[in-house]
Amino acid sequence: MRNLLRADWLRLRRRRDFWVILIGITIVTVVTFLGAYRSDAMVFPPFNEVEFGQMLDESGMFEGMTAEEAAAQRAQMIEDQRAQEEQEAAAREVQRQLDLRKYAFPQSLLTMLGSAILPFLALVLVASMAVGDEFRFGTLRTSLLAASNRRRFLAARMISMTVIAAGLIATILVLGVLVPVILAISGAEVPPAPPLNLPATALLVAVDVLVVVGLMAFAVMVALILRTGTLSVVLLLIYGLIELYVANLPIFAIGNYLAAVPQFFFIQGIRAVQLRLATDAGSLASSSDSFSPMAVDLGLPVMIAIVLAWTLLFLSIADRRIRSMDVTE
Amino acid sequence: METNVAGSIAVGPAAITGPVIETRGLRKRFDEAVAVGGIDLAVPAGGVYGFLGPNGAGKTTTIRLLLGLLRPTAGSCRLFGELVEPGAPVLSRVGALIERPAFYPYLSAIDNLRVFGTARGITAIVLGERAREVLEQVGLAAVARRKVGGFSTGMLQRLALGLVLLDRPALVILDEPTNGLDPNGVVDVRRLIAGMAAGGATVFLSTHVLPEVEQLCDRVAILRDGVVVAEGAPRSLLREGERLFIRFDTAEQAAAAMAILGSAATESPPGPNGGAAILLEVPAAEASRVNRRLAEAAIHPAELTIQRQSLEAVFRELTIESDERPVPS
Repeated sequence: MRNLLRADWLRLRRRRDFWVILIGITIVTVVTFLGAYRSDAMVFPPFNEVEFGQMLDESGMFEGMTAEEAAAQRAQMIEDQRAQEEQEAAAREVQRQLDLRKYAFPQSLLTMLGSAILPFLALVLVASMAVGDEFRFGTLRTSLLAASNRRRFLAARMISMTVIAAGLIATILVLGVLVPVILAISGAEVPPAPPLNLPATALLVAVDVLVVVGLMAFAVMVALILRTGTLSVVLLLIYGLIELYVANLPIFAIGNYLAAVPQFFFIQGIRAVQLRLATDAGSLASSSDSFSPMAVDLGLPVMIAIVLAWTLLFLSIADRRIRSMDVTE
Repeated sequence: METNVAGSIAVGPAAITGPVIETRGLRKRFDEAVAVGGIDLAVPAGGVYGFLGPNGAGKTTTIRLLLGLLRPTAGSCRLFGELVEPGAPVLSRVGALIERPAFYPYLSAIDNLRVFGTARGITAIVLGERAREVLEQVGLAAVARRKVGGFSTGMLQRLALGLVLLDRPALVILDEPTNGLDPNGVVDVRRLIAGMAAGGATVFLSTHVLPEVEQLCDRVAILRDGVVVAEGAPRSLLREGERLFIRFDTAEQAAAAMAILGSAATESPPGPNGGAAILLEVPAAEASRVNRRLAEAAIHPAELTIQRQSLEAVFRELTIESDERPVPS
């Protein structure tokens, strides 16, 4: 097994497109984080009395009034508007200060991780490439002749990709520490953030690794069944949409006796466990997420078990497939 | 490369008793098409065993079955007495080149050898030196660092041979190893094959290049439509194609000789010297006995010559359907 892992590393380190994807995804994650910060940090311009007065004058609402009546009415309206806008601005500022805490350490860790939907999809792509390319280049037979044991070959690929996934998540977490520091150094406003619940945060990171393994197992299974790596991401997205449609069918509506069923679906299960753990960890980023309340609280162990069960199912199908398939490439 | 003065390439110790390759009723069907129709083979240890057959005879399918890349529909194959299944441990003792060799196009020649060599369990220290030696051996030292994606068919073929040589396997299975090579390359490869056999490896050579068989093989099996139609030493196959041409001065003598020699004798055009002639389907060693029998009956041939069919003619006779054979002039 160690030889296969070493061989995989020798192969991957020379694979330029693979590194481009990983580096690109890291950059996109940081850009998404900064984009969200910029949007949340935006300060609305203060009330402009002159502009508002001009708008009132052009509206023609003072026609038929005497000059004194119009002036009094105009001054009153401007004052009312000023009071209302100042009240709104104060509320917005409170909300802005609350929102900006997401970008300060330690909240930034989970905010950065939460901006990382693309890396998850990219890892699906990487996983489908890792196996699909063996069919595309015809190297599957060369690899299997060298590796002999097909189960070990697949296990080595999965382990390599899991290490890469864990590395990517770790990189994102490190960036979650560094980017707020850079923001602060550059003079950006980053108010102090409330702490995270450490055990729940650690568990969330571990579950994220499990989720990535599950998604990659899905990609590998599809690549092995279809003997191509090009369709895994597309099929995952199609599957996700179908699952979403099915989960929203009236028979699964809250209050119905089948309401808990969608929580056992793959993508819905992932979404549920991630949001639950993010909430438990005290992530401010997740508190702004809108998601339908769970019909039944299955409890964290069951929620994690659902994701684990799907992962094991995909892995066992992939394992069965590679061990029984005829290699005709 | 450990090449001794006789040009042999040393292989690892192998105490082999019984056939190195043994198949029993080996069959492979793809949907409705039977690719291999029940092959029984017993390849002894040592030397070069030729596996002949026209295109589409089932050679490559048989080789993929031997290497555990395909699952047999029926029957079994054993290597070194161990049953071959996908991922069977015995496959690690086999070096193989399958037609149209496949490598990672984004890696250089030496990196491809390192990746597949590492997967086979060769240590990095050994591999570093060995990969360079092997590339020298197959004539690719000058392009060792060039990406394989730009290699010609012949260069890929050489690299695949390099991979076979890398860990000195006890059994080497080669499928059309001289495909795509220039004449110098063909000579080099034949020298390498002879070297491997001289070093103690058993070489199973699938080819349809008959001079290669005549030069290298100790035994051959001829395959037609997925079935072995002849098996033995090339010399014995050639003996099967031997016959005696006997010319007489008169047609009466020829008729009398045919009556004595029985059904093995057939009429033949007498050639430019006239008279009457017969062909007798017997090995050349029988010539003196035939002559003695005719002399005892007071029939004296004007001419008695041995006609030998080339291996090519034997091959054509065995592999072309009777209704496809050209009519002799």
